[in-house]
Amino acid sequence: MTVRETKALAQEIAGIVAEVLEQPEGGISAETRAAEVEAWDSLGHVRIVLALEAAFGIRFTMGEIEKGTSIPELARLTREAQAREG
Amino acid sequence: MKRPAWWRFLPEDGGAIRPEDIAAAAEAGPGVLSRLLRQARAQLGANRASSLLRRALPDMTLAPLRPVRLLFVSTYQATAVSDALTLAFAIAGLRLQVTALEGIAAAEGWIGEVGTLGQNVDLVVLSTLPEPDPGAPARRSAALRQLASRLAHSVQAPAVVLSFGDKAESADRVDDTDVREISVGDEALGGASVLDTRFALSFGAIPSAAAADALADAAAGFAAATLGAAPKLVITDLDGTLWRGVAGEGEAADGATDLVLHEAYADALLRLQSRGLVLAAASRNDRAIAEAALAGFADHLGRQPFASLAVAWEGKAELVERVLAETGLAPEHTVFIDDDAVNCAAVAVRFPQMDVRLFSGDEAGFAAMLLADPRLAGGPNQAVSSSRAEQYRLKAEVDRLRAEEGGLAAFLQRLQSRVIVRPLGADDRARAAELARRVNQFAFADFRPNVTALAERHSAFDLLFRLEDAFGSHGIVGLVLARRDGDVVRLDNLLLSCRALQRGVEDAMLHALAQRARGGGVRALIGRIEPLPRNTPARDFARRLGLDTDGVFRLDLEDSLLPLPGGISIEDEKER
Repeated sequence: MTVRETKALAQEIAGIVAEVLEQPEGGISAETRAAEVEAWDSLGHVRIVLALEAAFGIRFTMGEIEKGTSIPELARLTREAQAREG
Repeated sequence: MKRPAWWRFLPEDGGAIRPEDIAAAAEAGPGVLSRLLRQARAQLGANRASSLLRRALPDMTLAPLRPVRLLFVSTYQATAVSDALTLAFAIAGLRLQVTALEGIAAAEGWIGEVGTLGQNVDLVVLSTLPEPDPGAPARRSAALRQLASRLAHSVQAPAVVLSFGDKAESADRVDDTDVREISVGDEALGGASVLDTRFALSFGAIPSAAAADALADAAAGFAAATLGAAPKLVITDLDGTLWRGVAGEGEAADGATDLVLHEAYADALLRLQSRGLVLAAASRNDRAIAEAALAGFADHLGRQPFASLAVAWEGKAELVERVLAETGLAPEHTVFIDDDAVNCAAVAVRFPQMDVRLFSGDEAGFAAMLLADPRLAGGPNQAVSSSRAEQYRLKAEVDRLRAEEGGLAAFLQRLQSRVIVRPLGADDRARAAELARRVNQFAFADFRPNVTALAERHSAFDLLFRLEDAFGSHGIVGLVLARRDGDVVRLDNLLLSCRALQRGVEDAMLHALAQRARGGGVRALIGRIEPLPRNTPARDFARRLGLDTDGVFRLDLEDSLLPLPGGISIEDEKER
């Protein structure tokens, strides 16, 4: 995956996270971390994980779920899961 | 090209569903909204689809959804399924207002606080996850059932215990009390596991996304049945849908022998009928040819199960309209099934409230989907409901006679109606509660007691009405809920099935109540006609009798009894 593709993936994920957490436009960027968003609590995290799994047809492991606390990290884990699950 | 899912009539265009699409669908009607939300759930998952719904309709009270107040008790973190519940209820045409309690102890405490005064709940759902200990499910099932019973009693609303995977208790299991047990089967999970333990550190085990959707659909289906909002009528297309081929176009002389019945689908229709849904067919063909084709499958299905058969060369929407007129059932209580996407689209545009389903090429899968759909699971009193098709067929006979006769009086005389009345007995309560839930058009008020609440009334003026006429028995059609208050009788509700409207039964019911009340020394009958969304026939009736439809009415019984139309007799029957 190229840098441009990685960036596009992070932006797509940021859009999904903003939608799921019902954040205003621009409220979530490709660099956002969970700690910066009030709605990204433990329930918000469940909703994000399930939404990404539905969007990309993947399944995260428990370890990945615990690590995915920022948009860049979620993008990296999504890429890995896509590669793993073909 | 990939065939669209049954809720889509066009192949997927790959475009994202936007909030404005959902808002437009809500504007169009509940059937349109339901199909788009199904698509959003399939495409985006319940969490994202639910967020979209909230963004599209920030004020859900403006959506074409019927409000329902749910008490949701779970043995896991309820917030994990809140999106799935909101979405599934919206798909079922319901706007969810939920009170969530986590754990049995919380529910016990809630009962203690509420006592027997909790009136702000329409239904109770207890949801549980599988236990690792093999001995635990039976013990917990008994405990949950007891808890459900006490909750149902305290809030005077029906309750359901939802569990997973116990094949002994399928969606068809029926109980005649206010507590029902429904097990979500593997079919609804599509091979997914029930539990998701990946969030254990913060949430413990929660239902997987597929399990959350399945249990939410089951809860919404139960709610729809409880509120009388579930489908009551299934209209199927014939050529290409009930059978493969086109009747009358075969090479054989009768054109019927080339047809191949879709057996799994036909079986599913019969099963739905046994759950209390009325069957009808709408087909663009010659009626005689269609009837001959049905007769050719008499050993399996035949003509008999269909309460209405609209077969002609009109447009599909016109044929559907004819079925609705014959059965007296409403578009919002109807499922329409056709293998032709254009027909589906035409019917969906004409009836935006209707649940329109494209018959998929995978016949067995489509049949399984129908049977697993909780909205089509039927009400709790299926033994009685299963004769409903026959009763609607009798109604069609009555309507034909009405059309033949010039005036109402002559029509009623020829009908020779007998209204048979009995005090509401213990054995009648399940049927009476079902009637109270289902009737929308002829209801004086929104008072819809469940079995428990009926048992607590102890009123000699709670009456159940059967109807018989020249065509046969139409079964239980009416319910009066009234109670003595000093020297007056207060009418809490009068409900009459749409099968028996406009033939004088409503007059006979009020007459019978007034007669009994006067016999007991009562001076007046006091009641109220509430303006409900669909009770225009009840309000029209009240206006015809000169009753005040804007407030409380009072009928003085000392002057005279209410008139009884000619051709109708009233008979007393003993309590059961």
